[in-house]
Amino acid sequence: MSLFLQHGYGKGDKLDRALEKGLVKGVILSPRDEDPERLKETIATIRGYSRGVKILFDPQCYAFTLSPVRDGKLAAYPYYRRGLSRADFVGRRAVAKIAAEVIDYQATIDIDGCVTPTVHLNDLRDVWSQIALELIDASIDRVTGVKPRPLYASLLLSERAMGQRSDVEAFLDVLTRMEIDGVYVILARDSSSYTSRIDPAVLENYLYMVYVLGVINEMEVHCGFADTCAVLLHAAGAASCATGWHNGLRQFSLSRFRPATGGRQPRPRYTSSRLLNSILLADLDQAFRRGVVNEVLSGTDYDLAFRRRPALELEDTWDLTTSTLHHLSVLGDLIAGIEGLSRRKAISATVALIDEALGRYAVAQAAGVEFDPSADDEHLRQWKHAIKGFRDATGL
Amino acid sequence: MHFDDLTPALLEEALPELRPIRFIGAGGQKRVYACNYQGQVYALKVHFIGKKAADESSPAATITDPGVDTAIARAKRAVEILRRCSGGSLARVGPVDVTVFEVQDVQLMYYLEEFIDGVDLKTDLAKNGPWTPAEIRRVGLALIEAIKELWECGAVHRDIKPANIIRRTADGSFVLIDIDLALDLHGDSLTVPGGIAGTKQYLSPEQLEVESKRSLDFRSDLFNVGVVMYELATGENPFWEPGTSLATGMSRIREFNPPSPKDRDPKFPSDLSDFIMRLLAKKPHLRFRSCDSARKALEKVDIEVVSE
Repeated sequence: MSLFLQHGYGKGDKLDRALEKGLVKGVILSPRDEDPERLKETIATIRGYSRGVKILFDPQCYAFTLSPVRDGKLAAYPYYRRGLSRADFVGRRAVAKIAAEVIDYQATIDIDGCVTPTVHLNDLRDVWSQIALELIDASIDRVTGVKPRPLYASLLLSERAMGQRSDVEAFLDVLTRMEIDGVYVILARDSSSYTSRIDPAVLENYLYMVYVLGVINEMEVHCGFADTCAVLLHAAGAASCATGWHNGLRQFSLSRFRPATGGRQPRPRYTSSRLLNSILLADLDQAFRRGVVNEVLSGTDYDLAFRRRPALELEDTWDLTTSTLHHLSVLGDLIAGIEGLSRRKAISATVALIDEALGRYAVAQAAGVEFDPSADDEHLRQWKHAIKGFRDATGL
Repeated sequence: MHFDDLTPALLEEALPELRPIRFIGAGGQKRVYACNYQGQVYALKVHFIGKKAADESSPAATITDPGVDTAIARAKRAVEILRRCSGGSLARVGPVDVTVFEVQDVQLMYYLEEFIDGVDLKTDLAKNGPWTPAEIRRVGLALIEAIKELWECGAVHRDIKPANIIRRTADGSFVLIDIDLALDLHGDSLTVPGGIAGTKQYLSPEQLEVESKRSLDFRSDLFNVGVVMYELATGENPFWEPGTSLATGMSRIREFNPPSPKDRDPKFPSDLSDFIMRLLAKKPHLRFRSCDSARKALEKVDIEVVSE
């Protein structure tokens, strides 16, 4: 069980610092945000810190079919294609060519395995789902001759696609028959702004998918853009979960690839291991002033000052690098807390964490803290609901 | 002539190179005999294709059903595939290819298979009752090996049941027979309506889904093995009991979660019980990803019977 860093725009020194501190065990590279030469330098940097850090490359082929698309540096990659439609995936040869180009490119860079191309899946029964499976199949054929395994099937699943258990089950029946070593899966959120809330049915099916692939079928499951859900996904059987240094790298939304529509700067956040949430600095400030900051603080190397002063007075010192390192540290500790436990015990421990977080929310609210709706405890109830369904389905 | 009246004498007349021939058993549209071919004993499997019309001069005198040609072609292909299988857990295909012949007004086809001297598990179970955990594990491992071999040859057995598993008299090893699944499509072992190949008491949930027939894989066979192991453990089929209607039985295969062997007998080893129940999972993705994974899991199970 490992925490991975979701690489993206605005790297600065955050990647170096995270590696230096040993906060992540892997990095998932985003070609959209660095051109091929820079990306190779980034890989060299990562290798310079530790050969043990796993590097995966998300080819981001789901951008092929988006129009209009904000594809950044992707156009500089030899495999990239813009403005494809369904017709471009008709026929075995067409699919094989796309897969070959994506796999062949990955053979030229120093990464740990190959990630297959995929398309955005909004319905697990429609033609795009079939195309995604064909891309995986074609990648299996290609990878054999080009680059040694492991091969990871990549999936970009919308919340809608994950809403129906029967669809997920039928999809898994096919996917588990394929000769892949693992899966790189991303849940594309409907909301373009960061939120801990999630439809319990979607999360339940996501946990079920991770469990089926990771535990029953012994695949390496890497969950991209998992963020605080990492604890649940790890408990269900994920090998790794990734998060990034800003909200756009913590949760995935296709809006990331759409032309920008403006909008305000994200408000600074603080990740609380005790609340299992990323709350606003303003919420943390209230907790201090109401005398309940200890119900909220995570106690990492980065948040000591918040014990002594209201958070908003420290806003200037809570820069993106510091908050990122804190975030990684919190998630890493939470994951470590369930490491080595049996699946059943890991799930029970996660439920205990959620119950404890609900209790701390209650204490803070009783003291008068009014959390922003984007940082309240609703997600915890949704998580519990999802876990209950997951347990019923798996007998864990 | 009726197919059931196909005596060894009639066969010896039609197939003199296989003399002497003796009857062993029958099931569905198939009869099995022991025969001698070039000095070696083989199992002779004879399948009913169809009856000629009474009037030889009429166009209907020859069988024109295109399904017959397809069935024969598929049988030949299946036998050819299985000829490549080399492990010891499967009955080997014999030296004679699928051959069509006639006896009186009946059109038949036959092929030869390795003759196995032993007792089938159905007979054994009826005579001796449930098996020990150690023996259940042993037969489970042999069947998984057989399924693996078949799958590597591109085939799914689809009709794994106690009557199709033989324990060799010579060394106690287990052999899976009746690998002619393509022939089953023409009626052999077809005991449920709707063109489903297999025997109703051992069908997997996906075998009941007509639209998924083409996508059946080894995991369907693993389910069949789960039913067999369950029967060996408890003496009873998990989904069917005497008097169960077809509709109820099929519904149970799809929906009903039977009590585990451990639930039924607290002394039964938990690990082995869990393994059997995993094979009986309703969805293929909840069984095992590969035969190797299943084998490794079964090798690891603790078979110590819980002492009181």
